[in-house]
Amino acid sequence: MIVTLPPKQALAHAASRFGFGGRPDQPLTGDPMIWLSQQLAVQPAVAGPNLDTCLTTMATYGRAPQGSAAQAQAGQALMQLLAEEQQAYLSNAITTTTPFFERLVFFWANHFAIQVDSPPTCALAGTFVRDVIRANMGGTFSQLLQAAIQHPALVYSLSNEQSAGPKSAAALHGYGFNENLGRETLELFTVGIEELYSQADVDAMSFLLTGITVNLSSHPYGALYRPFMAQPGSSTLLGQTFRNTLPGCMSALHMLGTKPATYVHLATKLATHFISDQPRQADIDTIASALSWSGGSLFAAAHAVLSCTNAWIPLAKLRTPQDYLIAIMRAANITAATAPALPALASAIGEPVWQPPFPNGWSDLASAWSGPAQLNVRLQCACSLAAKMPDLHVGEICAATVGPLLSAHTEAALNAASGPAEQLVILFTSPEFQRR
Amino acid sequence: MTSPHAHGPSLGRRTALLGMAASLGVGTIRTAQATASYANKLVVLNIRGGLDGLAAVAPYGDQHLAALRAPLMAPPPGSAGGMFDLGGFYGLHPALRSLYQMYTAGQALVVHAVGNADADRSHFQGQDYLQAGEPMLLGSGWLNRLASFVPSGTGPLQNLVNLGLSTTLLVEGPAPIAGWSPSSFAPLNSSQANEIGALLAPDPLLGPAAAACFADAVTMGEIIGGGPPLPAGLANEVQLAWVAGALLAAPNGPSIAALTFDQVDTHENQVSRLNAELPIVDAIFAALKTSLGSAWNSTVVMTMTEFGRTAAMNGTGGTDHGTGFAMFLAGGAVAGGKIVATWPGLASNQLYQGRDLLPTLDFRQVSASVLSSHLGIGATGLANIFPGGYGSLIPGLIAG
Repeated sequence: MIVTLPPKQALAHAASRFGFGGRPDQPLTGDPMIWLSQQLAVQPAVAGPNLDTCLTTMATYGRAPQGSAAQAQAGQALMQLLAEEQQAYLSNAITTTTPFFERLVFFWANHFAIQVDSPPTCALAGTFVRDVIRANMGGTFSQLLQAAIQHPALVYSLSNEQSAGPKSAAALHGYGFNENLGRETLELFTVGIEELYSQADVDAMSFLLTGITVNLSSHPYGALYRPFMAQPGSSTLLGQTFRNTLPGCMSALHMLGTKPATYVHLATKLATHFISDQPRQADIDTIASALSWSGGSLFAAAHAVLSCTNAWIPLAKLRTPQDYLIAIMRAANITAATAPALPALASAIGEPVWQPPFPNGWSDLASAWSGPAQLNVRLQCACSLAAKMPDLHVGEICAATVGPLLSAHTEAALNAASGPAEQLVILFTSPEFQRR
Repeated sequence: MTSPHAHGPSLGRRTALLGMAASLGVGTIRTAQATASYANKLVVLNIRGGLDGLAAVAPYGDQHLAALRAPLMAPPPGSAGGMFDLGGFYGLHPALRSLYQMYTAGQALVVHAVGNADADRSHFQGQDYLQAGEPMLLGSGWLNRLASFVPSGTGPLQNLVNLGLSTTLLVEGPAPIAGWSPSSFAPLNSSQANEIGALLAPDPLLGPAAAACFADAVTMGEIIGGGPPLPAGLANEVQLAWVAGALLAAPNGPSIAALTFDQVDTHENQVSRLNAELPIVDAIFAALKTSLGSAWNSTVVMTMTEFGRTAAMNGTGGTDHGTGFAMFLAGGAVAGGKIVATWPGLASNQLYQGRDLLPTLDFRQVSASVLSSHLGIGATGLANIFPGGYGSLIPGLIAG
């Protein structure tokens, strides 16, 4: 018996731990494990601009004369594209009926974190999440890795678009080599820093990646492999030799993406994200083993997370600021039409969408989010949002969210409150609502 | 793996060090006695992303530099837009004008060819080690452990204030900290603060954090509101530096402030990127000096970064992750106007693993020297703050 919580508590826990929190207009009944598992069979599509459109927006900005009115206009179009993508991303999380699936999208998008700190990444982060992360959720990690590495968003984000082998034909024309994407492919995306790889392995991975670049010369713009930028010959990565070609690079990524060290790395991150800031080795082993026997199936890994008894201990995790914001919006039955400007709110609460300071993404640890200034801003945000929701039925919201998990202390505070407005503040700022 | 920084397999090394930490009694910090007196102030600016020390402070007198990276070098001292000469061998990046003025006024110095613990050129492990103050993941950062050795000021504020909306390991740990950041939301009124404080009180994480943050927010608001008005149009990081200075200068303010600056991971187009970013770093120093007022005279501002970058330019007009780096010390308490370094040279056989500036000092050595001379932290304190050791103290960094 994995879930030993009483039924109402189990449902409330499932909605907040594995989803983004309950919505009063999406009441949950029945077995939470079935509700969660059923979400791992579907792949809800979302609409959005395609890669060619996004790259065109980026290129229009890049090609406009410096300081011209055309450049200012193109810059506005670029920021508009980003704002719409971010709004759609958060809005989807607020309204979704498959929140566990969406949480997994958020998790893997944070694993392959794009930082929107440059025109290319601002233009491409949305399509990356849609066309790489979401589109590969039903597949294996190796497939996701291969798709991510070739997508222009990651290529630009980690500086691979200009990287050419030192002995390639392109090197004669002023192109050269860097190891940014190669190093992070090993350290962040696959085997992790605990695996024993050397500078020579970083070089080998980076050589294998040379040639993976972007087509901006004829539509449709998109990913492009340029053989003349590839380092000639082959490279030896973690003891295995691969040709420096696109198929060779994909084989190398498959090797990395299916290594036991990679599965342990991914399992540790999944367990930290969904189970505990200090996950137990047994849970990490459970998830890593599911990745291993399934050939890296992302859904198998998600099922394994659900199968860990420790994942069903309520309130063990702290919501990140973004997830806290989404939970409040869900509690208020906010729809895409009634949603405020969400990207600005996410920035104000300290977790701007797709903008972690480093390519290792946002932290999953409570310690990273509970500093005094962060807590102050989080509580201010909750009070400010609650003040704009005067007509809500607090009792219904409470029942649909954390009601079944409330402590006697919080319940007493709710009962002692002077009216609905104050009750809503207490509900949103309670430990049960800030945690998950 | 042949340098002084080479170690065995990284996993084994960390495991061994974790065992060592246990035997050193990490965690006994809070029982130690605070012993020094604290008009003196410390600001730590953590420059994340790996600042290229050979660009920030270029050893233009080294005959090998130009062959490694001529396109990355600013024009020589004396020419238009050239670097500022720091005594005939080193040149300061031309964007660091305020820092140069501090240097010539004897209020800034450079420590060069400094190393972090070997972190395999990883940003993330490098930052972990830099912030923990140890080549392992302790549960606290060295700046937090320092705070336990700094007696409280006269007011209710904590000794250590973290600026900005992110918390990093550097400031995490047993000592309570204050935090400030600008907010786009209305502040809580006192009845909300009381109500939420009582609501969160039983929560082991949120309860103490809330209690501290409400009281500190009020005090900090009073200090900042009572000081000179914040100049308009400052970059976020510069605004935070300004506020840090105002807080440290207040009689009831903290003694230590933590600031962060990112955007120096220059794999591509390094020249234009540093020309855009280093003026902000320079403005941070200038803002601190202005807002600290007379307290600047008893302040040390220290920068650190997780690694330096490759000695040679890479193929995309940038530099990749390297090893040795440069640190800045600025402030009225600094014995400035000099470079502190044992220059390792840039010939290929002098580079670390044939590619990076070889560290000849350890950042813990530099930090411990500042804590010792500037804040009066004794051997017991230093052993708690840097439990794996810090080498020999460097004399002459602090005036007086």
